[in-house]
Amino acid sequence: MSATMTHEGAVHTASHDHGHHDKTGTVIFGFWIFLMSDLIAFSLMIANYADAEWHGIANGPSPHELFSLGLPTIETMALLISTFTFGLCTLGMKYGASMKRTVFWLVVTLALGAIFLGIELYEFHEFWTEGNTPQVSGFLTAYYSLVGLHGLHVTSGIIWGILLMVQMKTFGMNDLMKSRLVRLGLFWHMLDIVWIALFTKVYLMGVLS
Amino acid sequence: MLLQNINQRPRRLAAPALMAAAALWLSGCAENGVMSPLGPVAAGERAHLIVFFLWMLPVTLPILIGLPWIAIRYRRRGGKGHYTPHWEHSTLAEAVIWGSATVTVLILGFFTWVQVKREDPYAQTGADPVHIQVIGSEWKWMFIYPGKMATVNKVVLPQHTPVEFDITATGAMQSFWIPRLAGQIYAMPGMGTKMNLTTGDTTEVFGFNSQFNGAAFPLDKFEVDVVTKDQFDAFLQEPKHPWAQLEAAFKKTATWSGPELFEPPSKDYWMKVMMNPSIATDGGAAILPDNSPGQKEIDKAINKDLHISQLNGSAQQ
Amino acid sequence: MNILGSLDWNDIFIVPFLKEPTLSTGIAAGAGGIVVLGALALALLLTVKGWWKPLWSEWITSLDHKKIGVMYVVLSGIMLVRGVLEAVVMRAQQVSPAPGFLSVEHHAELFSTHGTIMIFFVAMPFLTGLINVVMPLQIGARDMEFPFMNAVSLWLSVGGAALVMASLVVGHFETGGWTAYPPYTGINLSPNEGVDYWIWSLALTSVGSTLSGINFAVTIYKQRAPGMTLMRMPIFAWTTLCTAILMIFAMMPLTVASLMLALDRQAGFHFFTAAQGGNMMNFANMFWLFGHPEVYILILPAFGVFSHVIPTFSGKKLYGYTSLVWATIAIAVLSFTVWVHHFFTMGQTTNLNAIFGIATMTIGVPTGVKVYNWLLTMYRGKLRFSTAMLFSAGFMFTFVIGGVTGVMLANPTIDFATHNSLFLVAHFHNMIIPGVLFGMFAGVNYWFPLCFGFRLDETWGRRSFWLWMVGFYLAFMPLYAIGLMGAPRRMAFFTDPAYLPWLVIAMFGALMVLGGLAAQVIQIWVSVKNRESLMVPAGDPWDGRGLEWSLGCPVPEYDFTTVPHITSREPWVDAKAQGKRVIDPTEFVDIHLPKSTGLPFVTAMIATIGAFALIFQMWLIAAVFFVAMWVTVLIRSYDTDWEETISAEELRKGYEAHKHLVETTPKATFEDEFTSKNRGLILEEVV
Repeated sequence: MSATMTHEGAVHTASHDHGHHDKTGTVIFGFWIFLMSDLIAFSLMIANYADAEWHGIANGPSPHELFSLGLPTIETMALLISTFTFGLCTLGMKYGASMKRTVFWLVVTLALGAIFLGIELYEFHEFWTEGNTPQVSGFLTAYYSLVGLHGLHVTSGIIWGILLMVQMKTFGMNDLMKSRLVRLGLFWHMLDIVWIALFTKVYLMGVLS
Repeated sequence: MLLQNINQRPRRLAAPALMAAAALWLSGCAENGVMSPLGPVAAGERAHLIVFFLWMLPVTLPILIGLPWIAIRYRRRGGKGHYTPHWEHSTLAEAVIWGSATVTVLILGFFTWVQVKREDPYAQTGADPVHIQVIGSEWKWMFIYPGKMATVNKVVLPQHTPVEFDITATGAMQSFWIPRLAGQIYAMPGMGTKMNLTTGDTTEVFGFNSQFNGAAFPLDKFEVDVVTKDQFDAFLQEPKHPWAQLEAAFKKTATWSGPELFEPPSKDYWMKVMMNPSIATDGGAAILPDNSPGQKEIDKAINKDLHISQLNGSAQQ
Repeated sequence: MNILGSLDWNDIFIVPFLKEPTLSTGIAAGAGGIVVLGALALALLLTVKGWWKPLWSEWITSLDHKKIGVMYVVLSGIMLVRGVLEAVVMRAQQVSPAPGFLSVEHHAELFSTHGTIMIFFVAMPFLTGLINVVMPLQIGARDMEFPFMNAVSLWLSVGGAALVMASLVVGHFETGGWTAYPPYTGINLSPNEGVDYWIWSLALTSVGSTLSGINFAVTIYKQRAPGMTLMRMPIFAWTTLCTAILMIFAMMPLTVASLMLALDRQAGFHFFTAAQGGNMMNFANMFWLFGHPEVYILILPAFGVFSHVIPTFSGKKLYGYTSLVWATIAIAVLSFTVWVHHFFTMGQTTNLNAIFGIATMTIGVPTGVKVYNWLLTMYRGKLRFSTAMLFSAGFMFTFVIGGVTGVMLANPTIDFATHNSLFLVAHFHNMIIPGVLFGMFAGVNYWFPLCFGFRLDETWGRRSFWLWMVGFYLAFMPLYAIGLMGAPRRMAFFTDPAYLPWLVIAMFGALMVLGGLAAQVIQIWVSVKNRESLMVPAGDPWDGRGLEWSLGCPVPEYDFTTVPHITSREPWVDAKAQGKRVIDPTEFVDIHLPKSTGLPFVTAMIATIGAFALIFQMWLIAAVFFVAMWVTVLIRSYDTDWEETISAEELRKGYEAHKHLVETTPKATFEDEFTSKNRGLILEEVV
């Protein structure tokens, strides 16, 4: 990796006297650490949900009254496939596939993300119109916040992906773009892992309870 | 007389005089702390406090004594100590330092475990305790002797008897604390907590909320009277105001200055309040706009309370 | 919808006073007035002196880690003045005849802002600033790994502090203490904008701290000079690493808890409400899941400072390096296992209380070991009591006393009798004032020449130490006493005459602390005035031991002309032992430094205005600024011209100049350490 192509705000502190400082690697390392911090937020929300699901029903519906597995399963499939297609996208980038192909798989990924998001919003809408708003009970508050937080992450991932494609068109597929694509990939895969935890805790265990 | 002056016009007195007189005041004055316990639970707490303090001395005194000693002996100019600029490790010293600290914590940890188990505020301190239900509200306390009586800002207990409080709150979180009888426990809306204690000899002390909860926080306190068993039985027979009057007034009033003794509510009232705190309060506001009528009421109540405590203060002299 | 949200005339600081002039509203109006007049006076000064331009081009837009560090410390200093003044007003209130001259709410606002400011806007920026200045110099780096992000963190902290200051002028601050427990801080009981001020100023600064943590950790992992293994790192770098990891994991719970509280308040959610299934205990848990590691975020960097100041002024190697490293790591890990001790009285089972109590005491082991290590570092040394050393020694003595009361409080049965009392207040001030402030003061006195090229005045420094030290004891030892006599914390006034003499002593203590602060301001003033005689251009004015002292003072923008190869824990001491006065250069190569940019400042200020809009429920304005903030990020992502080059030739010249300077600097000894003969590079004996 050339040390002259770096990310925003990079400094070439690495003197050439002790070899090239792998800037891209460092940025990705930093992003990993950021994701760990983000995971803390999700863990807290899940813990809060687990408590609210137990003690916070109040006068509202309980999880098994509210949830069914149909739509969430489709959502989950969409997100799982999107992780796979993102894998194809980054693999292609790594092995020098054409820009067109990289962009194609990125578009597929983001589209699947949009489908996921659409289903989630549809479900929110359904619950909402039945009168099950987050203001009804601690449980519903926790549900909307936890799933909504994940949804917000997916939304920002999609916006990020679109902006990245615009930039790829402007700058070409340089190291900076590659680094950003790799970071978006990490972000996206993390959201997938988080979703598996959410799906299990919220929907699967909710319906079974 | 001196005391009263100080209370009213402290700025007129020179500070040195105050400091000199401190010991005098301390010996005779009404204080309300755990260091002068009136029951076995508070006495236990004081004992632990002293024991822990003493056990910390072996590991801390070497520093408190050693530091000035080293500072004098090894000072650059005029110090008599031997200089070893490269000394940076001693296995023996390491072993002693880590070892003594670890042993101290093991000992104190053992004490902690035993003491926490022995003084569980949830465990009854004796057979057949007096049950009292407590509701903390902004800025007053309701005590219910189930089926017998309800009181506001006043709780009467028989001497040398185990007592069990069931505690909840309506608005903000509060902390229920009678320092000379037992430690504190939070009173939280939507939750129930418990505190057990055994009373000592007859006395009059006060308990209070120690968790800040707004405009009349300084008034959020209650009388605790420990009386003989006969007096206690007589107390329960005293004439009472109707419950409906208390229920209505308790919801609306911020600070309490009305009558203290009432008929008891229905048996499940406390439980209902715990499940749904809003039935015992109109919602209230802990923060009031500076010039609102509610704030003026509170200012008045605070001044009245101060007046009363000053009267009591002079009576005691 | 009203575009200005809930803002109205009554929120302007002077209006309540005009409507009803009392001492309490007068003080509030006065404080607001000071903020406004202070801002105006500053603007006037900048205009008259023509300093706007240099302020912008050399400071606000700078990405240099040293300048960012200095700005953090300046922020902290300004907020410290406010925090101490508030403390003095509260002490005065409690010795006045009841009910005092402040209303209960005004007093509550004071203790809430005092706590919030001291933790988030004094201690945090102070340590972050010191780390920024020193850590890269100690590990042989030329800057933080992410300088742009570093500036964003700084300006977010400034934005948060600006909001707290704004609460003096517009509206109120919250009244539930720095912990802001619901349901008291819920919308029913705290309907005004105070809690929102708390939420959004903390949101800004906690995001800034998370980013700082990432920055510090990556810098330490990736930017160390060749040969500097982890076990060769200076202790300050070690404590920074542990602090950074704590920041990464611990700031998030605060952010989450405060945003949940915001949703409860503004969107009618039920995270912490008493009714409809909310649970306020979740807030307590999340807050302290942040709050306890936070204590160690604050104190570990100070431990790092002591680990450098004490060996330097003892003329001796640090005793027990390995012990100190492991103790630091142990503290960092254990800090996540003790949070329940902040609410032993919430009715948990005895098992849980006992386990958390014992875990709390366990932290005392590595902490105690550290104090002994410093003591053994002084043992058989040749001690010079400079201001920095005095603060370190004062810390050790005082901190041990706080440690005793800390272990006492860790026993739940004792906590039942002392929780929420002034005993507790005395305890944590006893830890934080010596443990954080004394450490930071020692660090500033010690490392000041690195930034500005001259030493700080010793006379006023020592005066400030004695005022702080004696003031501390007078201010807080009485609180231990009346805490045990049953005095609760956060009480606007006491009616029990037994407390009065103690409160009067505490009042004198607070005044002495204020005097100490004033002495520090004078110290800086005097030092700037006499800077010519305090200059130490050759660097290393105290026979220092770390890599940072191998550089000239002030340190040039690029820090190191060449990055040294490290072969031991104290490369600079080794070089000096060989009679060298500069570390031999390695190869000179072109280097790249980040270009100055105003974007971090702009981004953070937009975020701050957006946060202000949220506080007063100006939803539309908030949305606009939220989008604008991300647009600035997008602008940055298009920027590819972010570096400027410094040529190898220029670095060589810098090296030659420094070498020449060092060789021509007259040699001085410890006798001259605090005199104008000390132009840097002093040694025990003239060789």
